[in-house]
Amino acid sequence: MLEVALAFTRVGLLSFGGGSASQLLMRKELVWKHSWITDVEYNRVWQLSKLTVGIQQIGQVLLYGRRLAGRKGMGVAFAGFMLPSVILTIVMSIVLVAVIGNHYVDDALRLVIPWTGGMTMATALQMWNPAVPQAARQWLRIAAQGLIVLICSILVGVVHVPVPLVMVSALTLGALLP
Amino acid sequence: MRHLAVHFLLFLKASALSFGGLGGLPILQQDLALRNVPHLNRLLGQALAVGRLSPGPNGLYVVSVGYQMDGVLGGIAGGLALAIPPFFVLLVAIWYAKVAHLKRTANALMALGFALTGLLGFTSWQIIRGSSTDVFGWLAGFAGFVVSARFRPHPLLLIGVTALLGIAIYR
Repeated sequence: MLEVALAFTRVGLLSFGGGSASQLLMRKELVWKHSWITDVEYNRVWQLSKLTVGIQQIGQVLLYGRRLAGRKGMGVAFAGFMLPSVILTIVMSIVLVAVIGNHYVDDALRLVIPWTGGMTMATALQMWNPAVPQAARQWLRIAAQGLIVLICSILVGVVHVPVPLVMVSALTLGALLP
Repeated sequence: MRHLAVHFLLFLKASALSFGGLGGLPILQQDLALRNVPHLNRLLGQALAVGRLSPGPNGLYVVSVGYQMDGVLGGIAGGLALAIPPFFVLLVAIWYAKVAHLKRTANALMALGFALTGLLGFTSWQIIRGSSTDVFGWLAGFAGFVVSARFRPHPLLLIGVTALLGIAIYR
């Protein structure tokens, strides 16, 4: 049990850089280092976690923890993964709020905030991940997908439709497609 | 305390109605804008920067938003709001085998991906627009997009270099 807790704590504390870093470290701990599960089992749970709400990696941690040591395993894996990260984030926020007002920090933030906006926009593009079109027909498909993306932006930004309504509509329309 | 409870519910709503760490950002942005939270885009931008610098899962920006609005208890509320919805996966696991192979499931998730791209794209546009005070701010937003989309370097490095550039330009 302690080993499970330590493994997930290492994943939570060392995965700087978001989702891909977490995936790599989690696979390293569970599959390569401890051989607790196989690659196939790892991938199956990964796929499954994509269907849950909220942060998918937390869903993955819950399922791996349960698979390794039942409910207790689920609890220690979850705590090991989440607690250090949340505490560190609060500490970093405390530091940030304490230094706001300092000229150097304010100057730095004048570029850092728009920069993080750009990074977030890149994340949005990666969710879509359009392939480079090779034929005219593929151009049409990309254009149609881009139109859906644009319509969703306009619905929220211009028409002020509630975001959850747009998401549920997209899910429903997608499920209705033949 | 009432504010804290309301904010916790807003964080929980954003987390429970989203897929992925940043998926709840458009919902949270819309809800906080309706409540006239002052300097919202700046607050979200700062929280995103802290979230990017923190280890752990994507989406920890909510913890920083909570702290900036309500102190340590707000940060804890943000962490709790992130932690609760993924337990839904235990229910999903029961019925996943029945729907995983269906084309409709794949289509629904694909359509949701397009919608999330549009929603998150618009929110990030608002952050760039709201925080850019001059041409350098706009350039930083554009560069952040291009560099992150094309090269995917470590966020810690990118944010550090941008901060130094900001100090060098505005001093």
